[in-house]
Amino acid sequence: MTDHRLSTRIMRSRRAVFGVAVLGTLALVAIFADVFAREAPIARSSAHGFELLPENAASPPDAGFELRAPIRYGPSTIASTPFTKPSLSHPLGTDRDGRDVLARLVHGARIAVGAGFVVALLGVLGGGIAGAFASQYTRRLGPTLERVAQAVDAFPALIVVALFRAMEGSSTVSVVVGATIVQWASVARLVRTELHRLGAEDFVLAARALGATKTRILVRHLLPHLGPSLVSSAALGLSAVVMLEATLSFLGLGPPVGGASWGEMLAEGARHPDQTPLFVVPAVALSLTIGAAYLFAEGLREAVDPVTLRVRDSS
Amino acid sequence: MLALLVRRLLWLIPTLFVVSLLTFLLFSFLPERPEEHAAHADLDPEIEAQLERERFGDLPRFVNLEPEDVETRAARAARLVAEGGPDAVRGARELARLGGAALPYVIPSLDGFDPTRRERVALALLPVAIRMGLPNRQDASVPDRAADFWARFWADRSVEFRQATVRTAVERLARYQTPSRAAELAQLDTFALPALMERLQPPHDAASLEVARTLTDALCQATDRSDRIEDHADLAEARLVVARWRQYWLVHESDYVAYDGAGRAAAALRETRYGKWAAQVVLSLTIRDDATSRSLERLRRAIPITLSLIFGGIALAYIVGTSLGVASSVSERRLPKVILGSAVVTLHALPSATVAVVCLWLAPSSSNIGLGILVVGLGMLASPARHQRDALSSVFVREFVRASRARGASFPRAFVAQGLRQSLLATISVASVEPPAALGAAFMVEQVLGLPGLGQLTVLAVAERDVTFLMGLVLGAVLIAALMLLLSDVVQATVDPRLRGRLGSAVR
Repeated sequence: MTDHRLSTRIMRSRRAVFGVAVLGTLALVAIFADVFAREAPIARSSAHGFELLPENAASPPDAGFELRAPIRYGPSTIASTPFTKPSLSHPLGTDRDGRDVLARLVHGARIAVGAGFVVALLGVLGGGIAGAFASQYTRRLGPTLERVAQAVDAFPALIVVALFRAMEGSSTVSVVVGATIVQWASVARLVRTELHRLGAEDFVLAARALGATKTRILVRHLLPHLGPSLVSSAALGLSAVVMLEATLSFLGLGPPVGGASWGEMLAEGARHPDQTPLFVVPAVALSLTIGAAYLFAEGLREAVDPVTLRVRDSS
Repeated sequence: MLALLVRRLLWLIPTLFVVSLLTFLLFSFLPERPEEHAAHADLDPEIEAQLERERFGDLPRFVNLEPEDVETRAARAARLVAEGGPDAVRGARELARLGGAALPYVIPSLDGFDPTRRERVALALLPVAIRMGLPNRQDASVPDRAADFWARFWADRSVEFRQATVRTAVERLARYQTPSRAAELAQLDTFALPALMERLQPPHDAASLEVARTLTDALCQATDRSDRIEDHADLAEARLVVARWRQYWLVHESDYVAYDGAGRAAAALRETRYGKWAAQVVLSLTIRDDATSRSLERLRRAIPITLSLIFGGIALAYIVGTSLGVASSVSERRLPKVILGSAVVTLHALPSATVAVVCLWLAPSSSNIGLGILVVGLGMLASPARHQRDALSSVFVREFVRASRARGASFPRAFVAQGLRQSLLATISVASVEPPAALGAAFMVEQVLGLPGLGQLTVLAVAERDVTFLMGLVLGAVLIAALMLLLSDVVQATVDPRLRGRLGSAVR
């Protein structure tokens, strides 16, 4: 007997749970990167009380108690001599410029995962609205949207995002804007196709027969069914953006992103093949992120796919 | 079917045009390179404006509703001179530059000015009289005689300022190449430029080299430029000079040509950044200077490498991935499925650069295109394997497969004739959108393996704002994607004849 509650089915998928755990951890690392790796103290206890300090706060000689990050280096801090072997003070060693690899890895999550999450969210929002509008409200717009989405899909995302980076300079915003422009199309196509399929289902016909408006059918009956597909699509979008940003930084397309980027770290590692950790660390981080997103999407799809459920039931 | 294919191919033309417009719009927002920006910071505003003009930055992007021609430029310059004040010098310089091409509009307008203003404008035309070598030109420098000088000149010579007359004069100069013919043309000054540029062609033998030399001398005389074909110049050098004159004309044509009727409508599209860019591309392909030839040669070597990586990788991924998907779907044992699935996910998650570096570590001397195809293909295995496995799983529970088995078909027969055939449709459809996605992987692999493909050229093009290269790359990618989509439709229709009707309706 299959438990038909979606949350239970998702929780039973080990892939989905693994994906959520890894992506959630990476999201926390990205959000609190400054707490994990920072040269300046995070907070200080003084006569005025306990105060949070800005990123470039200096440490006076008579400073009282200071709360410091576990990794006491920023992504650009020259922490030691170049190519230091892993040690207690630099668990993953240092790079060519003597910067701490672990600190760069933590801050790199900000660009990779941060940009990935934002683009996935914007792509789902933009693509979802466009797909839903084209499917529900206009008949002519549907084929037009299909053609536009096909054209956008055909654009080499790498070039579009590289141009945005060249336009906006070294900012993560340029990666987000460029990647969103190419990411929304696949979501819009997915939404349109799914809504088209769901539109022929009995429960939609019943709602229509009872006099429900298009908007009510869309919001109350169709959108809840789209949730898993959209989340799955967003997860795959996230992995695509992480790979895209890494590829751009690896190739050096456009100006370098401020802070640290896993793609830049990977490129540096590839240039120094004798320094194994330099190459392995960003490669593992990228693979873990992309793999987790892929497994989450797979697990989610399997949890809601009627065919999988039927096969599972029959076995 | 053939008619439908032709129709779909013809649809590609407007599609590519729209894509080129959108891409150009994106390019047009690119700021200048930091080093260029720094170099321009200390420039004189007039020189900066000239540089901006040479980059077509003064034009609108796609439609120019009020294209400027010699008439509007001459009227504006004459007004500035007539008004006096600080801008009069700039106006006088502009009138001297416009030269003979401005005379048909400036001289008749002199009567509309009061005597003082008329005098100022007439005096501003003195450099033109000197350049044209007019008799009694000293009168043009005397304040109270200058206006009368130009009025007399126009009464005597206005009949020569007609395009048909100029074309004949240019043709005579090209044929006889005598000083008297050159002097005859010099008296028309810049009015002869359109006809001279029309007649100027890249030389291909000694005779045409002489013609080109004579015509460029006439052009130098009228424009005060010094880009001549030297006496000892060979054909290649002469072609370079002609190319530079064409480039000059691309920027300055509207200074010497008047638009009317259809010409104005054409100028609304031509006198735009997009129009100028397109003309420049055609120009550089028509007259191949050394730089263009070198670029084309580099492209000729790079394109096959990148295309081999992309299409070789896709072919490898789809052959191996589809087989893995089939194996995973029909296998009843759990362990092989888990191992296959894990391997595919790992390869999907690893950046191609990582796989390439690992391959180089394992076999340092094997840096070649075969290894590149292998690396690109391995990274793309996940998509066909997953789609094939899912498609087969869903087909196996369909009624027609079960009915086939119930009628006595063996498993292999039901699998191949019913299941595999149907499931391949989904995989083929996915394959058609893979090339743009494979581009990044191919570029990474090229960089790691040191293959001279398009990746390195693209990095340079982005850094140097090479619009033409990047536009070509985008259009090439879109064209390939569209052709792949068409090919996938045709293959799908071949595999499943029921889809032929849908292909037709999609086209209509």
